Amino acid sequence: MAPADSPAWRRAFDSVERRVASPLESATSSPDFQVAAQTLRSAGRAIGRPINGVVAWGLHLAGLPAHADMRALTRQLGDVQRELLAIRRDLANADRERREGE
Amino acid sequence: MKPLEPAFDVARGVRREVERTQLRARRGIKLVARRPPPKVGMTPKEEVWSLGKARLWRYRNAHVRHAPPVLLLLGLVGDSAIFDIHPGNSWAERLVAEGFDVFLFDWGAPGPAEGDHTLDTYLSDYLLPAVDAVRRASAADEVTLGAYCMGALMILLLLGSRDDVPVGNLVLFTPPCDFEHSPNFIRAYRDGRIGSSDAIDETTGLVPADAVRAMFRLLQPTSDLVQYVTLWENLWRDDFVDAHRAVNHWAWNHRAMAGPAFTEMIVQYVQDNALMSGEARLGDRRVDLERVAAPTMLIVAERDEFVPPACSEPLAALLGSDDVEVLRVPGGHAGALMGSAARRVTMPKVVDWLGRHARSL
Repeated sequence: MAPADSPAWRRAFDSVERRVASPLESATSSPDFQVAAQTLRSAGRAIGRPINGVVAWGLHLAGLPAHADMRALTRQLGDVQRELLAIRRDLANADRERREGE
Repeated sequence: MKPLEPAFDVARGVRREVERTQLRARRGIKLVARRPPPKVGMTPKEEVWSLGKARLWRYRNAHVRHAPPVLLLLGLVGDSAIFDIHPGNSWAERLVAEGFDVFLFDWGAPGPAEGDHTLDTYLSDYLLPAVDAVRRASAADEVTLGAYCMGALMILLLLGSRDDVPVGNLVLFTPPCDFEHSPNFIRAYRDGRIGSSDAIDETTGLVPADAVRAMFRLLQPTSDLVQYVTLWENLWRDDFVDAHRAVNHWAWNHRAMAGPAFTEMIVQYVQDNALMSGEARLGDRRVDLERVAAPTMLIVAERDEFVPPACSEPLAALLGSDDVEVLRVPGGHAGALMGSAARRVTMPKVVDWLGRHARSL
């Protein structure tokens, strides 16, 4: 909230904001709102899936990669990165244990 | 009083507002045109350790007067810059000035490579080696840990599950503990109407940063507008823009979170309230808060919208330490750590507590 010596326009803004913010916050942070938002997201994904399938089919016909291909590639790259990182962590742990043993 | 004095006052007020608006317009155009990067983390420091995306820095201090060294860290979804937000509003700067050897740990923003990380991965594979690195760098037997919010919860899991972490003192800022008193915005997770898997992107294995940001934004839907109005109001002030941009950068710079760690948080802590029931586990080890025997300071923010006092305060009775001090500070979740309430109340009291629990060198 603005201090008492704020200009009149700021005080007016604050008084409106206070009246609007409280019910809005109650609504958007309520479990029902979260569930509704999640349901909308799931519905969006469910609707998008067949559309993406058709788009991917068209792109593949033209010899182009589709979004699903990029996701599959990202997933494979992620798997490789995870294995590398796990090796780095194992090496760091082995180094630490060796240092503790000395 | 002269009869025309009120009219002169109004005229002076209008003139002042016109001059300030000219300044606001000039600075606003400059700000939009140049978009200078926010000045966060300005206290001089050097990287002393890293693994993957995790980093450990040591703040330069030629006049260390106290031991043990202080290691500061945050949870997984925020930027550690909150501890060094802006000159004059920085824990690192203040602690260095008080003669502490200060280190800052950051988990890094995760990518698909970290999509399989559990809380145990983060704590055992990153934080433990970082604590060792602090001890090596400062030739210390033990460290003081200072952690904020989810970072504080993670520290409790680590210390409650192992006896080999050399911690001298603990400062826990707004630690979540009793999720029976969790805020409304995670209630849908708590009562199981939303599952943790709903939030996880199956390609990367992460809860995307946008989803984390949206969750916090819904709690204060008008905050963006208020920020812009506050910026416009104060744009004429020389010192305001840099500080405002630094704080704003931190406040909305949320990170993605590894799916397995997120699921553990939701299932074990939000849903099962495992810290309160004594059933918390870290990997294959049981978490027993009685093991946390180090002197501890708990900081609770009286108007905390994310971790209400009732969510933090039961922790004091669960710890094994016989030296636990609870500090209640005015303000909200972030205000407990930065801003005027932090500078007036939190910082002096924490520095005093650390001084009382430190050894002179």
